[in-house]
Amino acid sequence: MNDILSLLHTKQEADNLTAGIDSLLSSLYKKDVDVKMLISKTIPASVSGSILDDLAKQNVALQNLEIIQTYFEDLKTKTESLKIFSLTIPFQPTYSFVKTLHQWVIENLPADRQGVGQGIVLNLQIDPTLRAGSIVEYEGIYRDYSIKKQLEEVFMNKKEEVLKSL
Amino acid sequence: MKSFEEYLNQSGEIGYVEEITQSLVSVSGLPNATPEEIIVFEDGSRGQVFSLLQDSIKVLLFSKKPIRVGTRATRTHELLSVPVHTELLGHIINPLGSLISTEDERVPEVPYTMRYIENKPSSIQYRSRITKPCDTGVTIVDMMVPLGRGQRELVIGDRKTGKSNFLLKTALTQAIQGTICVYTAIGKKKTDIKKAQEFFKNHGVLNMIVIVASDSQDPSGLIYLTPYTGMSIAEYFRDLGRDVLIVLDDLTTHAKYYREISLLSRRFPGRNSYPGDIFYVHAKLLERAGNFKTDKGDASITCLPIVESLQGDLTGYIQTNVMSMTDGHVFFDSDLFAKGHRPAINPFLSVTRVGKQTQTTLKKDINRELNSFLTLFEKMQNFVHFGAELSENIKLTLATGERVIKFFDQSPFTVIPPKIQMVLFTMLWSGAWTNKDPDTMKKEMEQLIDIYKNNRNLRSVSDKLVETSQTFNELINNVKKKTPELLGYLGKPSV
Repeated sequence: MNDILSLLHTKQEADNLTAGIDSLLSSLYKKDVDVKMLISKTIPASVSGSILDDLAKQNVALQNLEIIQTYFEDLKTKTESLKIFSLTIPFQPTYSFVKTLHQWVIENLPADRQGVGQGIVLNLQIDPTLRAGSIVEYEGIYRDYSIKKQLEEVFMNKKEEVLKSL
Repeated sequence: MKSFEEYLNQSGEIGYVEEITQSLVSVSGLPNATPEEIIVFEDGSRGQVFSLLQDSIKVLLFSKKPIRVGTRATRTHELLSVPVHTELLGHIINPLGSLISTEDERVPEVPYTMRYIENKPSSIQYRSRITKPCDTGVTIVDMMVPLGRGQRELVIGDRKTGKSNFLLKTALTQAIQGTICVYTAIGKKKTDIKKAQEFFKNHGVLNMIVIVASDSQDPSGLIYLTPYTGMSIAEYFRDLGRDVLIVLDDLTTHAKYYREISLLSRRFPGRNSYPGDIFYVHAKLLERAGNFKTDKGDASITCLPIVESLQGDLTGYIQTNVMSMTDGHVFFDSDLFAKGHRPAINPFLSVTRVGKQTQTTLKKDINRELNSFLTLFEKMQNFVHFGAELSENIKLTLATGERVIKFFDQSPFTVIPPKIQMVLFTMLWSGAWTNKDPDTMKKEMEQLIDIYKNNRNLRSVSDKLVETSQTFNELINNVKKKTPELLGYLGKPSV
């Protein structure tokens, strides 16, 4: 299941997966349900393929609804326990940039902060007023590395110099 | 007070509101928060860390403003403190130290210091023996259950038995004598708080009083803080070398609000659903009172907490807790109240563990005499129910007893200086009013008290009688000689 979780890069994707699992679980009771079709309809496309591969690897019969239910409930629990790394940046990133960021965070965060067996997802927020840099929040720790803060500090500490130069 | 953003940048820690239960808020994040630290929210609200859990912290809110789930919070690295300065005198403040202005008064901006509200009580080397009496202006207390400056005396009784009135009179007497008074109204009605302010204003002592008030509509967190703020202000004035009287009205309400907060934070309930640390909550407050050695000499904090009993039951949980923390108690008996005695203090069920060591030899003599007489009188009253014929002695004792009980009755707004109390009692004891009925006697006594307050001559004669007598017998002899002169003041104009 860790392979599936590693495909999730952002909190949005994790939330979409959780919502999809909820929808799937609520539809399992239907008569003659086609689990494969259900998975492809409810689960986001980025992970549905991996889920089907994982089920095949574990030799899970798609007609065995009890095991399917347990599998998805387990997946949901693990998705909800993913740690959230909040990042506020001043521009709208592309998907590849998000992937790169996610990879960078996983590689650079100390192992003891990542949590054993857990993954990390990014919670991206856009704030153009930052101009450059970012604001980072993780497990209650907050760091503002934006240009905006640095400029504010300069204006506060060197107010008279700045006014003289104008 | 810095802004939320400033505190956020300073602390580098952030949390989010996850759950709100009345005045308790569950905040995730803030990994290094410490107990009792102040937490600031994005919308300007403040709270204090109440519990530290594995994944979150519980914060006790001080603000009435509703807070939303998802609101950001940050640490301040500060403990709760209040601004203290001499300009607090004459004003009503809330438990966070802000003035509650009722009129268009402009309070001048003065330099102030910040004082923690949860100070540790002083250790034994900073305390000294209680030697000065604390006059209440209520005859039955001053003569039978005397208090000392620095004593902690519990005031206990059923609701509506006159406890608050007694405390207002005590504060008034002390304020007249130059003691700073801190009146702490814990979760009271706004009208009651206003009445207390009006009482002090009408008697011209508001400039010696600080009222720390939280009304019943305030958040539980704020009500919980009220007595601690009052005590911090008392400690400030003590450190200036002033004697302070602090009244805590009342600790039963305080205990109930603390129980509410503890149960909401899912702490395990103990006896009567109170949390296990309810004793500590009151003990750490009351231990901050006493007689202390300061740079400016001895200074005292006399503490008078009120506790309400139910149907006269002194064995309740909070009642017995606070009785064990204090140096005695004054018991307001609802039976005596129903019989029309005011104040309805039962001197036999009241105790003072420290007050008697502050009394002069004369006062101790009077106290001893009164105690034994009243015990005898009580026994004789039971004897009278049999309907047997009474001897002259018994009749005299009963008549004197009636007069003594009448002597102790006092109107709600009268305070009686201690020296005139002793003189009047001695006059009664020596038979000055034997041929008059108790009501006439009481009327004449009240007139003499009024004249004493306004007439220099009567004041000097009475004070001299007390000062020159070492024992009760001496005082009786001296008063007997002066009785015609003293009674002669009745009907004279004030000088």
